[in-house]
Amino acid sequence: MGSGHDLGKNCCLWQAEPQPAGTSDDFVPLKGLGPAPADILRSLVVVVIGLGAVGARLFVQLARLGIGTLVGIDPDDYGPESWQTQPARRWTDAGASKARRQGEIAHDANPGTTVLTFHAFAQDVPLWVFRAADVVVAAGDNLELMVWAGVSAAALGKPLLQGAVFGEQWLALVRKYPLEHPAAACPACALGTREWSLLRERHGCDPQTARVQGIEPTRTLPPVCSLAASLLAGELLRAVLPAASQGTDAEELDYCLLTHRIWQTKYARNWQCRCPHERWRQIDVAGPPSETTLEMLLMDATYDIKPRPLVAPNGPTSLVSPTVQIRGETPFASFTICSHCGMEVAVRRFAKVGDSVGQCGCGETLRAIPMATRSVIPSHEIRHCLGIPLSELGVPAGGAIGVATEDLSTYYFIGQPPLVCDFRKSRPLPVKPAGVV
Amino acid sequence: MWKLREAEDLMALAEKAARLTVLELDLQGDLTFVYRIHMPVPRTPVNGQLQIGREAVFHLVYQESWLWESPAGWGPLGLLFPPDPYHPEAKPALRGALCLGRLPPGTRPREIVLLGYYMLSLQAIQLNELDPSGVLNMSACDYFRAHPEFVPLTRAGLFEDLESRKETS
Repeated sequence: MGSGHDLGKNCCLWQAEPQPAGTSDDFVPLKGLGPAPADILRSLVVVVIGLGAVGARLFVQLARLGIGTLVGIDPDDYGPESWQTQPARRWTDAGASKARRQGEIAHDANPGTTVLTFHAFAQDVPLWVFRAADVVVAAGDNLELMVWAGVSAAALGKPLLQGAVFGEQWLALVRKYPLEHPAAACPACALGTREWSLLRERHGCDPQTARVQGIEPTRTLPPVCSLAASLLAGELLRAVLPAASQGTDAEELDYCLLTHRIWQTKYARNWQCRCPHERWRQIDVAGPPSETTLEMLLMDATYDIKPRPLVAPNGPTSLVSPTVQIRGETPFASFTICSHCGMEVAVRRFAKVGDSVGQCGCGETLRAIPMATRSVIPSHEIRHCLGIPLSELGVPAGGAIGVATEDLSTYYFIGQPPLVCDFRKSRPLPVKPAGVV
Repeated sequence: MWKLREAEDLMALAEKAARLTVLELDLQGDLTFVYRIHMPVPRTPVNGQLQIGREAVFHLVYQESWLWESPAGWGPLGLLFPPDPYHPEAKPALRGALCLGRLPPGTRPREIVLLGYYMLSLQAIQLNELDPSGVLNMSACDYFRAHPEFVPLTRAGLFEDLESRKETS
């Protein structure tokens, strides 16, 4: 069993291993895939969200297909009953991380695949991971996750696939959302009032565990889960191989193992959809966060997006406009209040509620509090943050900063991320003109 | 556009509610609405006797993504005053955070104002410590279970005069 490198923050990496010297090429072309599919598959990065009864079976299938880089994400551990429906060992896997275990299994099946796993909620995984993906796959029926995945896939221009099961009806289904096309439907386009009201189910009150994990174990029959995983693998091949027929419509395919009936449905884009269906402009910034400032990003944004000087309310020409909104991957904490002495302390950095943001003069650890965290940097704070290196604002290497104007959002990916990513599109930022605030 | 629509809605609510005073409405970045309500507020007991304040200053922040994502219960609403609320859904360690429980995506700011009022006046409270979405202060749970005479602090709705329901306050 290959042992992965524990990269901290619940992340584990298994690097692709070269074929042992002296062995013949054991990768034979599979029937029906067309010419040279191995090269195409080897160049792909596929992100699988959810490594349970459907996702875990898909994960190992993708490794056997020869996908170059597999990323698996799951926040859960195996329960004592998981072995009945999921590819886990009875007794020995109970309590183990699903992500780590499935990473081991996939890499063991094909050591030539690079496998990266996150034992975390998908919403907390760095954005560069999804940006590096060629296809994003969500295995499960968590509506909240699907809505989030749809918004993110549309923003990054990635195709999104979903596989799920309905145990009572022995029903396996797969949905395709070709969100690389701006006019495609997203998972939220078909939601009605009832589905939206169900989305409130998975939040806890403790900021450290705000997303509550599912407590109801999967009890769907393994053959139904296997079928959903196989349908999903087939749909993924159709999405990435040029020989397969491609459409721009979102589609759903249901197969009932009880009746052997098949339903195929197309989803139309809902123009009243609550989700933004917004495509971000994405720019790589070559310099690391320690050498990049918000000022540099804003100059790029103002000159590229709106080629006109922006005038601040107090007179002088400024890069800061009330219409420009700046956000990171985590909320922005303006200040915090010491829970011990009650002192208000300016923080000015990106941090999730409950994260440590420094130390108070009294010695107490300061933590980001809900009242002082915002999804965007408040306009009166931007000026204070302009010249500060992004690393001091809490932006890690590979982290993203979003700059949104009225009609366009630009995301800057700062520096080299710690792991797999494609930086062929890198370009330097413009030089700062003299005299600009 | 959604911020303008919600801001108009909030101002209409403020006009209808005589006890609500708007202190700040900011549409830059997240929608921010700071308001004061003249109302009874549970404060930390002194010698076992619940202290009751006369007004509360709320701090509502609404992120655009909450139109399609469910906010955490403690996400939208905080309390700027009083600094020592004694309430099952207010966590002392995270000052000012008020937990409104499970909120579906698209819950409008106006509804959050109403939820906050009914929660803080103890007209709608959660005393089940085992509920993962609702309770932030265990000792307040115990206290109000042992002192049902404080529940609610008033029966007056937000649009009503407190005096009209004085028999219960």
